[in-house]
Amino acid sequence: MKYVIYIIQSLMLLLLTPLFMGIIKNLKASIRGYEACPVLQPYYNIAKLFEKGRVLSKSSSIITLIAPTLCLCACVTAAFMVPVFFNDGNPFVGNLFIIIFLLGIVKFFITLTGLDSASAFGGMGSSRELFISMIAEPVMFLTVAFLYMETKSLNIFAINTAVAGMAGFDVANCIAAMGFAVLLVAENARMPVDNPETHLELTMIHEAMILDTSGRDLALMELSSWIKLMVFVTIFINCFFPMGMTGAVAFVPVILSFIAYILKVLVILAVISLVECSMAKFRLFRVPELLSAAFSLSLVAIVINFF
Amino acid sequence: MYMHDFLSVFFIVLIVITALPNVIYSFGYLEEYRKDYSLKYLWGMMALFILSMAGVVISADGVSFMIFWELMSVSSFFLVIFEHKKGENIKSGIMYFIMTHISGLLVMTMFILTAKFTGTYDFNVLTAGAANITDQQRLAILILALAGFGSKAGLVPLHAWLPKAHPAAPSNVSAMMSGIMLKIAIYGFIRVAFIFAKDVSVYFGVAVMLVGTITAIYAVINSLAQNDIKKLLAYSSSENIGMIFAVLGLALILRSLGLRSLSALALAAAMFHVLNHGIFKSLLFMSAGSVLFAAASKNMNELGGLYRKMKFASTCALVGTAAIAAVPPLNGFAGEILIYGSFIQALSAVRIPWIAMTILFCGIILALTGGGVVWASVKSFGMTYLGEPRSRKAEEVHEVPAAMKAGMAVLAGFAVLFGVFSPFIINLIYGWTSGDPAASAVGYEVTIVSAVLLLAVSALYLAGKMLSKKGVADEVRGTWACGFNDFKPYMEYSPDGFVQPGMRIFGNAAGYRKEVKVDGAVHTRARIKDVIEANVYLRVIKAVDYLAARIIKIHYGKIQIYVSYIFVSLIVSLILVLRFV
Amino acid sequence: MIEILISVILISAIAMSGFRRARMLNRGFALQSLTIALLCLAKGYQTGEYHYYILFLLTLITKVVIIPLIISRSMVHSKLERETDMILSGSWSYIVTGIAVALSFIFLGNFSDYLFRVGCILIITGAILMMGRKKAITQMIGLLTMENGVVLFEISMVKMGSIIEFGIVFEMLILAMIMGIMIFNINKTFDTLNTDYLSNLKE
Repeated sequence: MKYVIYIIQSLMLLLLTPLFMGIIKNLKASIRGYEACPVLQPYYNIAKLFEKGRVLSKSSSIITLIAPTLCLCACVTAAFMVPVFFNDGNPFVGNLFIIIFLLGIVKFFITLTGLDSASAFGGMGSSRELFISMIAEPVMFLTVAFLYMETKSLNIFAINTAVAGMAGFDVANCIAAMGFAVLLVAENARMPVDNPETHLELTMIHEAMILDTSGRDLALMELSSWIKLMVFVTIFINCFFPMGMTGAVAFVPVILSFIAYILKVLVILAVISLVECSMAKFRLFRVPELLSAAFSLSLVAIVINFF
Repeated sequence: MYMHDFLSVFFIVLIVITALPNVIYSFGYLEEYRKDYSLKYLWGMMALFILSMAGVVISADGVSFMIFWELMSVSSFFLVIFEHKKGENIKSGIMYFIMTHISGLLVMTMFILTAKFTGTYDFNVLTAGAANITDQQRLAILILALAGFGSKAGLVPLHAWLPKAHPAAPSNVSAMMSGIMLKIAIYGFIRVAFIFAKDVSVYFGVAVMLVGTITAIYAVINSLAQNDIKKLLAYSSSENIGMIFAVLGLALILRSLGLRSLSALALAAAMFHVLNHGIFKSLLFMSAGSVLFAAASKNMNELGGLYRKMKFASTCALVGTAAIAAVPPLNGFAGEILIYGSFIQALSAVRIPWIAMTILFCGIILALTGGGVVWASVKSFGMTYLGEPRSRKAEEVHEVPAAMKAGMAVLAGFAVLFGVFSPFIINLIYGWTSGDPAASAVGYEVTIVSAVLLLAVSALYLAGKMLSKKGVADEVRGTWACGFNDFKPYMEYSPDGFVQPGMRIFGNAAGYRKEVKVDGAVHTRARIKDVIEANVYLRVIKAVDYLAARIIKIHYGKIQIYVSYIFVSLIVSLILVLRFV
Repeated sequence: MIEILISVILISAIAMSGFRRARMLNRGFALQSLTIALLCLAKGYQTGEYHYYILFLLTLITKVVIIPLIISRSMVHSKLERETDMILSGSWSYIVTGIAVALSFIFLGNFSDYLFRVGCILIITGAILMMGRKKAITQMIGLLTMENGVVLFEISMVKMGSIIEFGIVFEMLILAMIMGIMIFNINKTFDTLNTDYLSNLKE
C-alpha cells in the first residue's frame, strides 16, 4: 500500500508543477500591480505547444531530437526519487548524489542543444550556464557534506526522518539552508542569476539555450525546467524544514502532511516572487561573488557544528 | 614466477578490455599512414608495447618489473615519434624520453633501496614481509615511489610531457598510452604504498592527497583553455589521474588512522575510476583520431558540424563525452559518486581537526574540477561535431572506415554496461580491498535508476509517437539570426569564446593573456601556455645549461687527459668503496 | 527563536564582508545591531535578569539609530558611493572570510556555546573587513563589527556586569563621533577617503 502512496506523491508533484508556475506569475503580477493571466495558464501553454509543429534548424543534429525527451525523463525519474509528503523509509532509491547527477543530465543536454543550432545566442547561453554551474559545484558538495554530517546518511528519505527528529531549529541548519537557497536560485535560472521572463541577450542564460526549440520540443524543455525547480524546492523543504511530514499509512495524516507541504511551497514561491520583483539581474561576473558568499555560508555551517 | 593476486588480474583485465578494441580500431586507422611510413614496424612496436605493459603488471620481482618498465618506455617512445617527418613530433618525443627515464630512474632507485633495507627483490616476500625497516627508510621509499610513479602518471609538476607526447603520437597509440600506460604507474604505486608498506604515516597520505588535488585543478583549467582536441584530452587525462591520486591519498590517510572499511571503500573507488577512465579516455582519443582521419585537422577552430557527415562515430563520441562528464547511467557517473561519497564519509569519521579540514578542502576543489570537466567535455564535443563547419577542411570530410567504428562501438558499449551494472563490479573490487569477499559497499540503486530511466524514455517515446498529429510535419529552416540571414561560419561561438568567462577568472593558471591591437581593424589574440613548464622547467634547463657550460672547460681535446681522468676517478671510487661500504 | 536570531546575525556578517556600497554596509550594520538588540531582549525574557533589558535599550539607541545616522551624515559630505579598488576584491573576500573562520575554529578548539562561536566569527569578519579594504568608512564598519562580536561574547557569559556594557557602549559612541569628524577632515585635506594617500603624510 505504501508504494502506491509513493507513486501518488510523485505524480502529484509532477501534475501540480505547472500550477505552481502559474502561482509565481500571479504573485509577481500582484506585487507589480497588474492583472495576471489565469493561474492555470501554463497548462494551456503546454497543450498549445503540443499542437504546433516543429521547426528544426538545418544545422542541428540528433541532439536536438533526443535532448528534450532525455531531459524530461531525467526530471521525471528524479521526481520519483524524492519524498514529497509521505516518508516511510524507502529502501530502494533516494541517494542524494544520484538525484543531483540526474538533474545534471538536464544541464549536459541543454548545453549541447545550445551549441547545436550554430547560433551565437545558444553558444553564449551554454558558456554562461557551464561557468555558473562550475562555480556552484563546491556549494553543492558542501551542502551534501553538511547533511551527511548531521544525519550520517546519504539517502534523502533517511535525512528527512532524522532532521524531523531533531528538536527545534539549529543555527547551522538555518545557515546551510540559506546557502542552499542561493544554490537553488543559481541552478534553476531564477533571479538574480538569470531572468526567466525575457529573451533578451542581456538576461539570457537558460532561455538562450532553448531559443531554437519549438513545438513539442519546447513544451518538453519548459516542463523539464519547471520540474527541476520543483524538485529542488522539494529537496529544500524536506531537508531543512521537514515539519509535518508523516510516515503513517492512514488517510488523515497524509492529507494533513499534503496541506503542510502545499503551504511550505507557497511560502517559498512567495519569497521567490518577492526577490524577482525587487532585484535586478546581476551582471555575469558578479554571480561568482554571490556563489562564493553561499560557499562561505555553507563552510561556516559545517565548521560551526562539527569542529 | 608471476603475481596472480586480485590487483594484477584487475589490471590485466583493464589491459585486455582497452587494448582489444584499440587493435580493431587500428586496422582502419593506420591506413592513413600506409603511404609514408612502414606499418609492419608500427604493429611490431604496438605488440611490444602491449606485451611489456602486461609484463609489468604480472612480474613478481623488482628486476623483471624494471626490465618490462624499460621496454614499455622505449617502445612507447618509438611509437610517439612514429610520424617522424614532422619536426615537432621529434622534439616532443625527446622530451617524453627524458621524462620517462627520469621516472624510471626514480623507480629503480626505489627498488634498490628496498632491496638494501629488506634484503630481497621478490614481491611475494615483500608482501608477506616482516619488514623491520625504520620509519625514515619507509618514508624515503614512499617518496621515491610517489615521485617516480607520479611522474609517469602525469602528476604536477612532472606532467609537462603529457600534453606534448599525446598529440604527437598516432591516435590509437595515444589511446593506449592514456588509457593503459598511465594506469600501470598507478598499479606500481598501489602495490608499493598499499601492499608492501604496512604502516604509512598520515603525513604522507595528506601529501599524496594534496598533490593529486593540485594536479586536478591545474590540469582542468589548462584543458579548458586548449583548442587542440588531443591536448585538451591529454590535460583531461592528467586531471583524472590527479583525482585518482587524491582518492588514493585519502585511502592512505584512513588506513593510517585505523578506519579500515572506509579506506577499503576509497581504494575501491580509486580502482573503479581507473577502470572507467581507461575505457572512456580510450574511446575519446579514438574519436579524436577519427576526426583527424576524416577532416585532417585537430584544431577546433577549423572544425564543426561533423555530425552530419559521420553519424555513427559522432554518436560513439557522444557516449564517451557523456561518460567523462558523469552523466547517469554511464560509468563515469558511477565512479564519481563513489569518490565524492568516500570523501564525505571520511569527513565525519576522521576525528583530528586539521586532517578533516584538509579532506574538506580537497573535496571542495575536486567538486570544482568536476564542474570544469563537464565544461571541457561539452566544449570538445560541441565545437567539433555540432553547429556548422568553420573551414573547408570540415566541409570535405572523408568516410570513416568500418573497423574504426567497430572499435569505438565496443568501448561505448562497455561504458554503458559498466555504468549500469556498476554495483556488481564495485562490490567485487570492495570484496578484495576490504579482505572480505562477501562484503558489499553499495546498494543496487544505480541499476534500478537506470532501469527506471530506460522505462521512462521508452514510455515517452511511444507516447510521442502515438500522440503526434498526422498533419503537422517538421519544417527544416536555417537558424534564425535576428533577421541577418547571411550566415558565416565565424558567427557561431568559437572555442576560445566558449571558455572566456572561466579564463577571465582562472586564467592565470593557464597563462592566459589577451592582446588587443588596433590598426584600422581590431585584432585580438589570446595566448595560453603551460605555466609550470615555462617557469619551472625552463629554469631547470637553464641551470643545467649553465653548469654544463662551466664543466665543459675540462675538455681539452687531448686523449692523454681523458685517460688520466678515468684513472683518477677509478682510484677515487675504489678508495670510497673500500672505506665506506 | 534565539537560534533564528543568531543565524540572521551570522548571515549578515558573512554577507557584509563582500559589499562594496557604503550605504549597504551601513544598513547591514544597522540590521546586525537590531538583531543583537532583539537577542538581548529574548535572553532577558528567558533568564529574567534586568541587565539584558538595559543592554537592549542601549544597543537599540546607540547602534541602530545614532551610529548609522552619524555614518550616513559623514557620507553625504564626502560623496562616497562605492569602493571599486579593493585589496581583497569581490569573491575573494567571501572565500577568505570562510576559510579564516574555518581555520580559526581548528585552532580555538571547541566551546560549547553558540554565542561564543558567533562572537568569534564576527570578530574575524570585522578584522578581514578592516584589513582588506582601502576606504576609511569600510574600515570603521569593520571595527564596529568587531565591537558587535565583543558584545556577543559578553552576552554568552553567565554573569552579566552592567559596568562592562555601559563602558563599551559609550566608548563606541565616542569612537563613532570621532571617526565622523576624522572622515570629514580627511576628505577636506585629501579630497578622497582612500587611505593609500595617508602614506603621503610620511614626509
